[in-house]
Amino acid sequence: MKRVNIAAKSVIVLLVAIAAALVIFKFVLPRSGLGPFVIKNLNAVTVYDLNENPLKLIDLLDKDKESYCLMFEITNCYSCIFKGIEELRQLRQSGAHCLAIAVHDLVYDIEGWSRKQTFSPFFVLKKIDFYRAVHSPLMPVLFTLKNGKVTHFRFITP
Amino acid sequence: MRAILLVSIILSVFSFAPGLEEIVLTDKWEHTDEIPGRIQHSVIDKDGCPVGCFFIIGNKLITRDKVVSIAPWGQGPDEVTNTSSIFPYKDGDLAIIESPSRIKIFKKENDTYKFKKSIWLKRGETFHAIHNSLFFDGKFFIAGLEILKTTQAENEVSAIKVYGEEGNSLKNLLVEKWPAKIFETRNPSQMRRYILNYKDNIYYLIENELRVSVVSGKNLVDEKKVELKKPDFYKKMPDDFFSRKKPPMAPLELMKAVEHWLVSYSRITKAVVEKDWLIIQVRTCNPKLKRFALLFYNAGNFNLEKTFFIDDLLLGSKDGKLYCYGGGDPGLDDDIVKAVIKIYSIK
Repeated sequence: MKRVNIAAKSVIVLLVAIAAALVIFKFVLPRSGLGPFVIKNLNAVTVYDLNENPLKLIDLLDKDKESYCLMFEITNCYSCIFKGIEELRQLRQSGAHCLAIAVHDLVYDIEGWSRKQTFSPFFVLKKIDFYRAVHSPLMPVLFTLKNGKVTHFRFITP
Repeated sequence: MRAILLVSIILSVFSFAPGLEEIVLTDKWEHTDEIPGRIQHSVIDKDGCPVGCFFIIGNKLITRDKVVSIAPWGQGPDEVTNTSSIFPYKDGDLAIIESPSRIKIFKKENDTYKFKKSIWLKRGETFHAIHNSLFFDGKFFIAGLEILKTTQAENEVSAIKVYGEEGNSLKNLLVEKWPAKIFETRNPSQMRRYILNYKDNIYYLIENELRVSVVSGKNLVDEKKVELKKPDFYKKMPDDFFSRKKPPMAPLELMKAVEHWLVSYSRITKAVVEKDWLIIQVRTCNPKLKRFALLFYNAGNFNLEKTFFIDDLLLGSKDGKLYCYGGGDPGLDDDIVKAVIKIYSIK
């Protein structure tokens, strides 16, 4: 009788282990190793418009089709920022929904900087919110969002 | 008639040669602070205090009594992320170029500098290495290297970019065409540039050549290039200075090589215009001489009139005085420990 119990318990332990492994492979590992560019929780990301109004990033995205976003810092390689902005302009001409997000703490800096640019709209993501919500080893990065998920990204290099 | 002729000759001689006799050490500020970084930019502010950008250490204001950190690294209003150039702006304010596209203006208050405003530059698409700048006649003159166009055969480059007071791009000066392969054997973007104002003209120099390019600061046109007389001890920098070696050097190896290059040739360490003199400081690289030579060229006709040898690094000039960092460059000349400012008067 004891032997049966041990065998049954072994099977149960094995099944639990397999289930745990499946859970880890399905949900945990992808989150920790999602690749170089990740938005951890899109619903929680707040950006600011150039009048310093806070806005939910998810509300700025197109509800039906992909949105193209350029994320950068104004001290990044300027040629790279320029390339990214030019690409957004071209994408917009093709009918895409486009926006640019500067990672910076002072909104009025970006407001001044954007006056010399040939694109709009620009939004500002505060540095602390960037570190909390986004993982990106390089910037500028051009990425697409659809249905609340990052569907494609590309780091822009000189 | 002879008397008139004699008087006119004497007057003409005095008008070309400002009458330099010597430079005299007139003041010395000794501080206990150690600033071990290499001096990348320096200028003398409205109160006769040196402001310098030190490699890794950051920006410092050195007064008679203390050394003050100003415009530290960061994105805040009083902070700067990449200091590319420091120069005087109007009303005694200080301008710092934050690469790649902003001039931050600072106002002096109580022995420090406070942020006043930003001037955003309308940038081009291409690479622009900024080395030195000045504000003249309502315009910013930014010396460096900007690649304007690139083809397989050649690069079109500009040495001076002129911006209006609102940051609008006005003109590229000293535009040249270089073979595309020049970057395989040289690294001209690393060469330090100097830009100076004399009367209505702008003088431009590059650290590896004793040559002045003159442009009109009012009309924004290239005027001429003048080869300057080289002193006997002058040790020319090799053409492949700072070149990108293949395979590329490891970062530490490269840093050591750069430091070796910086002290091994008679490169220009600073150039200023003061009292009708174009004063160029070069390293002597000669153990029998002092560490640096101050070459006094007549700022009008570019004749080399006098040479002085000193061990101190020229930081800038103001009101007939030369402000120097005692003992040389704290990041390159190893025997410097404390920050000492030596002030020489041109007599």
